[in-house]
This record gives sequence, C-alpha cells and structure tokens, in this order.
Amino acid sequence: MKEKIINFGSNKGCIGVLTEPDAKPEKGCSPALLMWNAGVLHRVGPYRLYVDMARTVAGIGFPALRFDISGKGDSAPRRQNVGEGERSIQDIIDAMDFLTGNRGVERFVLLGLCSGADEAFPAAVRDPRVAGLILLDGFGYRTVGYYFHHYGPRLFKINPWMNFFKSNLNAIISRINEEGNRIGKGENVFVREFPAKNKAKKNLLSLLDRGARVLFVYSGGVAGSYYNYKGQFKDMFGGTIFGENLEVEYFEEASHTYTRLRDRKKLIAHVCSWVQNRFGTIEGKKAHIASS
Amino acid sequence: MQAYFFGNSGSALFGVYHPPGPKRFQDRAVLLCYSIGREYMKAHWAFRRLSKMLSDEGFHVFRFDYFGTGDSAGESSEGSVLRWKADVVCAFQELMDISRAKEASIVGFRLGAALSNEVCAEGFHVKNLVLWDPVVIGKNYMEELKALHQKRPSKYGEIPAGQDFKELLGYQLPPGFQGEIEKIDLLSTARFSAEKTSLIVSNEKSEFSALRDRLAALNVDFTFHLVEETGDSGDVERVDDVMLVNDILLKIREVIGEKQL
Repeated sequence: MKEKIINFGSNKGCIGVLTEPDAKPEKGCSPALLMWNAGVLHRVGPYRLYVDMARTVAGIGFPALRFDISGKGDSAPRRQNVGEGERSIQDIIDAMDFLTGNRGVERFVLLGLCSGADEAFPAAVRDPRVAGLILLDGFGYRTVGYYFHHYGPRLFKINPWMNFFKSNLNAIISRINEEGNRIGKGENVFVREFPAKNKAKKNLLSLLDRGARVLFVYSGGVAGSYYNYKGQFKDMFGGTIFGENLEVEYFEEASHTYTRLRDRKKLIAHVCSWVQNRFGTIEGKKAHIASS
Repeated sequence: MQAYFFGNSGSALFGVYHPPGPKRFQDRAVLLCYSIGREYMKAHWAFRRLSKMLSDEGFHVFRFDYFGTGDSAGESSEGSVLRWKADVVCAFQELMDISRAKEASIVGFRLGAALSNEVCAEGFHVKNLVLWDPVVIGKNYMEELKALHQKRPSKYGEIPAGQDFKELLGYQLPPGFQGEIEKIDLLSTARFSAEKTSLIVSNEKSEFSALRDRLAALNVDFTFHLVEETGDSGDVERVDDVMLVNDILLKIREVIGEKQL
C-alpha cells in the first residue's frame, strides 16, 4: 500500500490522499473508493475512520481516495458561484475525472457519511461511472413502525407523558402527517434535508437499473431522528422490490460517527466484504475469504 | 499551500507548508503543533486559518500530523509521546530546510504545547514559543479526558481498571499512553529555553496561573495573555464540532509578529 497526496479540480484547489494497493490493478478493473468530508470534519474522517477505511480497502486491492470538498478541510474554496450541493457534486466528479485521467480508473464506489451521504446520492445518480454507492446514515423516512419503536418504550414512563402534554400537540400531529423529508437534530446529526420520498425511490431504482450496487448502513445514532429498527427501509418504501443489488444493514449499537473502535472495525470489515463480493476478482474473493 | 509527505519513507509524516505572502518578515518561520485525538479534529479548521493569517503576514508556516494521527503513516495504536517529540523535531528541521528561514517560532496547542517545549529543551533555537492552552500537568489532562469519557459510558464504553486501556473518547491509544502523558509536568520538570515564551490561554484554569507563576520564578522572558473567546469554541461534547475561534488566533498573530529583525 502506498499513499500519495493529490491536487485536483478547479484550479487544483482540492486536496486528497490517494491510497493505492502495492500490486497495480488491471486497468478498468477495480473501482476506486471515494470518501470526503462528513459534516465539517476534514478528510481523515471521524476518529480517523476514512484513513483506516482507505488503507484496509487498498489492502484488498482497491484504490481509495479521501479528499476535502472545496472550502472544507484543506481544500480551497471553489471560485465558481455555485450552490453548496452542486459544488460538492462537482468536486466529486472532478475527483473521478482525476482518477480516470491519471490512473485509468473507470468505475467508482462513493462512500458518504451524513452530509457526505446526502452528496453521494445525487452524484451517483448523475455520473454513470459510479458503480457502487455506500450511504452511512443516508436518507431515511419515518414510518409507523418508527413511532412504535420510538414511543412504545416511553408509554410506561411518567416524564415523557408530562413532556408530551407540555409540548405543542399540533406540531406533533402535523409532523406525523407530513411526508417526512425533514428531520430534527439527533445525536451528532445536523438538520438535513432529504429528497422527497418518491423522488428518492425513483432515483434509487434508476441507479439499480443501470447496474449500480448500493449499500445503506444505518446506525443507532440516528434512532432519535429518523431510523430506529431493522426492517424500516423495507417499510419506508412499501412493497417496492429493489432487487439483489441493494443491501441494507442496521448497526444498532453504533453511534452516528462510529465512536467505538469495535463499531468502526465492524463497519470497515463489512464495507470491505461488500466491495470484495460486489466488485472483486475471483482470486481476490478467495484470498479475502481465506484471510478473514 | 503545499501538502506533502516528509520524514522517513517508511513512516512518512503528512505536512502542509504555507509559503509567505507579500509582506515579508525577513525570513521568519512558524511551526504549528496540533494536539491529538478529539482536540486535533476540533482544531484543524483553526490551524488552517491561523496558517493563512501568519503566511499573509509574511511568515513561512508549516503544520503536520504526528505519526499515527491524521494522514501520517502508522496505526493509531503505534504513536507515542516519545515518538511525537521526535516528530516535532523532524517537522522543525523540515521547516528550516524548505524555508531557509533565519529563525523560527513554534505555536503548540494543548499537548502540542507540551511536546514543543520539550523540543526547545533539546537545543534548537526557537525565537518565540507560544503555549496555547497547554497541557501543564499530564495527570490532570488524563483525568479530564477520562472524566469526559465516563460522562457518557453508553457512547464511549467503560474504562477498564488499571492503566492498560486501549481506547479513550473513541480514539485508539498506543500502549503505555497514560504513563507517558502523566510524566508531563511543566511546573516542575520543564526548562523553557526559547528566546521568548508566550502563554496564551482561553480560560482561567488554575494550572495556567501556576505555569505563569513558574515562568516568572524562573526569570523566563514571557508574556501572559488571557483571551476569552467571543466566538464558538465548539461544544466539547460534540465530536463533529470544530473550534470556531477568532480572538485567540488574532492574539497569536500579534504575539508572533511582535519583533522584527
């Protein structure tokens, strides 16, 4: 494994660290994993998650690039006058362009956490080079089951009842009735805007239709906000059949930023297995199974 | 701004060099030393901002990640206080090599302040050593970190008995970390051999006052500045917060830029 610092994008203002496997992969074979800022943290990720993820993924034969979106971390602001969402998508595309032009990488797996997930999804929809998408605490929508899991345990405690009657009852009712694409603050989660559910479903289906593989991983850290039980994803979209290229995991014990070392190790192991299973060569898969 | 790896090829350190802006300070340089763990993450934005402020004033500026932290080589469990002191020396030499500056100052934040002071004691000439909210007594620092950890056991887990814990506030620790940190004591073991020392603190902690008194007792050429930040210094509980400091950065710039050749 070797690491190299790269500058790319508008005026070469974006900075990233490219981690490459020792053995050069066949051109066009192994996709590269791309990761960038989660919230306001710089490219190393919370608790150095992206550094460890990149080095582990490179260890199984896939290049990985962790970088700072323009204006965050060590990257310069983008000079064009574009909105924040579009800026991030442009930076992601620039990162892919760099690796395509300089390393011959033709396929990519985008990994985003929190705001990174919100940026990864539209970037994946837009750019057909994205063959894989990993959303950590990506978009989600409350269901009846969510409220059951949230309020059920509280039914037998007095304080939540007192708070319930003190709070604005109308506001709670309207929140239950709304389409549910805006969430409040949970553990370490900023206020985020999710796409309308129907639009998210449509875009997700179009991604899967073109052959992309998608992995959603939800943590227990967003249980207070919008996702709190295994099986919620299926309930979110009714009876929609997404097919075998969509996988959903729920790591209930993990916090939103994978605070505990054991949770980060579990996440990294799962991502590596997923990448190997979905994109690895037969030899690579055999080696991965032998080593795990 | 130029980011690159430096040091030994097998254990390369990540560094960022900011060349001087239009105002020139007669070949002066500044090395910035982070703290570690959550303090490193929270201060990253502030350090980037401070780097730009100082380079705009005409200084060569260099900041870097210690071994086993940030983008530098090494697992998180492989660093050590001894190794990090060596990294400060390596970074200082790197700065002098690339800048060809005639003199250099160091700004150390929290643990970075304690590490950089030890480097001064090893014979390197430092114009101005800025101790920004320094870790003064390592034992107290460990107790603070453990208290934060124990406040939220569901988030961070329980701390095992004894000293052999491998994880604190989510960060993997090198073996013997607690023992090494507890040896830090700027009140009794440290010498302060920079040409000038500046103690810049954001709150009135008793150990900062004690350090000020010690510097005075040792007849060190020093200044003391209490800068209570008006900006958002970041919720220490929120790991994804950053320090949005401003006043303290202005003070550091003012202190560093005081003397000109």
